[in-house]
Amino acid sequence: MQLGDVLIVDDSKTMRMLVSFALGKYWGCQIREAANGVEALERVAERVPDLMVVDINMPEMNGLELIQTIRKDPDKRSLPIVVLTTEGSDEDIRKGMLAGATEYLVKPFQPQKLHSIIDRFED
Amino acid sequence: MAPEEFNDASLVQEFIVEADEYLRSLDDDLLALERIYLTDEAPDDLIENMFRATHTIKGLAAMFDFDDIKNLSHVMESVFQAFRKKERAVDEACLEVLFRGVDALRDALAAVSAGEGEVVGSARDAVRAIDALLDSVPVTENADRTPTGLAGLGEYAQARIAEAPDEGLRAVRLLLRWGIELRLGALRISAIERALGKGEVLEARPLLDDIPMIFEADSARTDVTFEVVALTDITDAEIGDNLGVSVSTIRTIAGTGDLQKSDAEVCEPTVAASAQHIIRVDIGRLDELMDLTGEIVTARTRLEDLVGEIKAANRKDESVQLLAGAAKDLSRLVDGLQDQVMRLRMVPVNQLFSKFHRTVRDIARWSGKEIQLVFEGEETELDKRLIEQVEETLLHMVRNACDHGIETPEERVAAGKPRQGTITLAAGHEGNYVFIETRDDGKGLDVGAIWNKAVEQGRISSDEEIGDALIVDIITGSGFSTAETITDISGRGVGMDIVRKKLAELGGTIQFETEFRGGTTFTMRLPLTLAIMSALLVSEEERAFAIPLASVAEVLRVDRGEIRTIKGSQVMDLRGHSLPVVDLGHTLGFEEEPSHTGKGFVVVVSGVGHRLGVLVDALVGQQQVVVKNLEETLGRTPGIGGATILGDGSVVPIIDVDGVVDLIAGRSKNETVVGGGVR
Amino acid sequence: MARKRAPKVLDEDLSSVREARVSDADTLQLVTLLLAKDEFGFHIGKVQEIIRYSAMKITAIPNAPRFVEGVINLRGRLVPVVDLRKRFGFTAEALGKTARIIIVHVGARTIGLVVDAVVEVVRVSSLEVERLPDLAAGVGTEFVEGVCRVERGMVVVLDLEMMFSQEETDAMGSLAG
Repeated sequence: MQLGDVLIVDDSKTMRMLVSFALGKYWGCQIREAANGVEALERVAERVPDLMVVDINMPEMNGLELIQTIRKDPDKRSLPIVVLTTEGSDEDIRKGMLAGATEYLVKPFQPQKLHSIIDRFED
Repeated sequence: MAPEEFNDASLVQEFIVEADEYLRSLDDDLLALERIYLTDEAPDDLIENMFRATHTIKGLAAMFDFDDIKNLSHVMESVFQAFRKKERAVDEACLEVLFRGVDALRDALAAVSAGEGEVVGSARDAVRAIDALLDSVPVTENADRTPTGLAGLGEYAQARIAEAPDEGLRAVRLLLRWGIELRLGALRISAIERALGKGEVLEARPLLDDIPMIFEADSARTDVTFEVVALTDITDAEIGDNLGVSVSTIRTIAGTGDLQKSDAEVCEPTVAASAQHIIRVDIGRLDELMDLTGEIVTARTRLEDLVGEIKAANRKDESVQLLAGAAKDLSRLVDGLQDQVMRLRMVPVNQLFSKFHRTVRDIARWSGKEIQLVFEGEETELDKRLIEQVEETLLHMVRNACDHGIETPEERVAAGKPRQGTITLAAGHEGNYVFIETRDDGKGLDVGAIWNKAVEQGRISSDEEIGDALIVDIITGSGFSTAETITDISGRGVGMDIVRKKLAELGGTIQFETEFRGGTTFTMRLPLTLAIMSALLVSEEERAFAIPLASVAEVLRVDRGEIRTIKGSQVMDLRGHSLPVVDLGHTLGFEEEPSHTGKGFVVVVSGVGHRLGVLVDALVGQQQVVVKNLEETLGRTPGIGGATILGDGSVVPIIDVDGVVDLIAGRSKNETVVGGGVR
Repeated sequence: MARKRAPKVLDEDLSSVREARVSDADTLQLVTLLLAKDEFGFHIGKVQEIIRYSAMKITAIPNAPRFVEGVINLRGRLVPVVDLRKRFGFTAEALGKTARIIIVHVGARTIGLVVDAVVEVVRVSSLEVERLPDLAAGVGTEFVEGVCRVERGMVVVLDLEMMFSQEETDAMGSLAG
């Protein structure tokens, strides 16, 4: 899989910058951003990305709701969605994975970790 | 640990800007909450907003390794979480620590922004205060990582887990989402086992309970999260790498492997300050405001001067009259502003006084005396900085009163006094000054004995007039050594010297009244605030200097011919007494020889135990100046206590009168240059 | 120290300097300056701004340390000004048109340094700074971080932190006393 289009969903602008910074390795890819679940759905409707990096705690529509909504569409069932959040308890991770996250990464994150996940998707 | 890759100035800047926005909204929301919490339930979205703000700051701070910011926003988030879950009601104590938390976060961000790293002190204090409130130990990063238990596992799994440590293995629980077209090929157990080193998979089951609705239309269930329980001999990180999953989805199962102990610090609970409707402001900011106000005051002075000149030149011009009126209005407003700004820094002197209860109690206990400490005017407000500066001085005076003023109960009874002595600390305002009084009803000072001693030591001549002011000068003068006859004030000789010096630094004075066998009162007078003081501007050798007005007794116009040189020291006659005179330029070392001709001015100043005439070329005027510290950057500059910036931007050094006295003392070595009895 | 051609003197505009501040870890950016005829340099990160000597009125403070010229009013802040030439014991000739005051941050303090001229900002690899302490004639070697070669010759790289450490300031104080 060629990583061409990434959608970063986070209500913090700085965090979105950090993630795109961490994605610098994939310098060819296009990065789109959304500040909450509602905006993210709009972006996805415009074009389905190759990868989504999604925060959980956001206003309007949180990450769990966003992922559940996306997974309702059978075509997007295998869309790689990496949850990137501060919540790292068992319960949180369980919820995230159940909602349909492909991977769960806890902030603060290492760019390499994100890379290894993405590289795995690209296999 | 956050990656070094993110340690980039522009990213950090982005963080600061964003966090600052959150802090502003937090402030607003907290104020809103403060307004309504007594009568209404806090709206969910308000709480939610605040929760998210701290949550986001926490996440970002963690990315940049700003631990203190992270920890503080974390505990604040916990408070909002408790509000959110209705586990805690909003009350004043909560608001208090949350406000404090916001301030501390802001300080820490400011420090980061200034490139100084985080300011840890206030942030850590705030964390402690909030922890105390939550009655919990600080949540560490590991606290979330409590190992999962064995419950729900099959017999085989439990048995193997029990044996695991003997084999050098530990049990882990992994959450894996498989089925992206089975891309990983990882549904095969063997694939996972390869990723576990020496380990084995014990159980693997789909998480099917409370599966969300998304699967309802999908019978194939190709996307399922599996929970895998396995044994391994490698680290979480290695497993994560091997499987290409993040460590956060891997958990050690209890009973195996090293349990990470929580290294929570033991925290002393901080008592929340008495809650009032208070917004806390960093005193540094108040200082800046003070500085600015001071500059405005200086500029106002300059404006007044100019208006005065213009007015004198154009008496009949109506617009000049209007200008003068406007200038007057401005002056009045500036006065008001200065007044208000000073008030901002005012705290009740009680904060200072109450510290001495302990001192008095302790001294009374070991000395066998009975002493009560009472306050008068303790609600008087003083500049916070002044209070800090004056604490040690007052401590000296209180100790002296206990040690040397108050008698033993037996002595008191014999003298017809109550057994218990009384020390009174009093404070009040007097114009632009505040006074702090230490009053005891003890034995008082034997002025006669002190007098004789001073004459004996040659410090004064026997024909000097006896007066309280002179006595103060004597006992507070440096190096006034004492003998048996006046042992009672032996402690005071040295201690009071320090007191006098400190007061001079602060632009204050000390007075003293005593009644033999009746008690002693020391009265300190201090300028209302430290940053602004009245000064006399003089010029010497075409350089301007400022002399603190508090030190100036009077100013005389003299002909330099009137000044005589006796034993290498210059002296002049002042109303029948001889007054030592120094040439400012010469004393400060920028003039080779004192000039002996022409007219000049003598500024009579009182220093520590000395009166002195300072000879200058001209008087420039009198005005309020803002004192700027020089010592921080220049080190000690004898004779110079600081500098100020005038309305025209020029810099003027401020004379330290005591420093000048010391300079002369040093220069004239053994020659006596002490003050005479100028009353 | 061998000198080639006279260095071109930078104008006081520092915009290029500010841009240059963000640098790679291994690259050192030095602002170089003239004291008498010798060229010195220090890390650009220390520099706040550079002002014309002639534009500032320096007020002498009696009994300040010997090489402290006085203080200037820098937008309401009092900043002490140190004559680096005197600091290093060079004979201080009258300052010319090119004289500048470099405002630097050392530790928590802000200090103005009087120099005969500011020359340029150079990028050097930190590897190029050789630690050759004895080369710097007339300068206390403890203040020298090293020397590095530029087109024109050698630049002595100064360690300002060392030079204005607190102990040093105290020493300055007692020296004056």
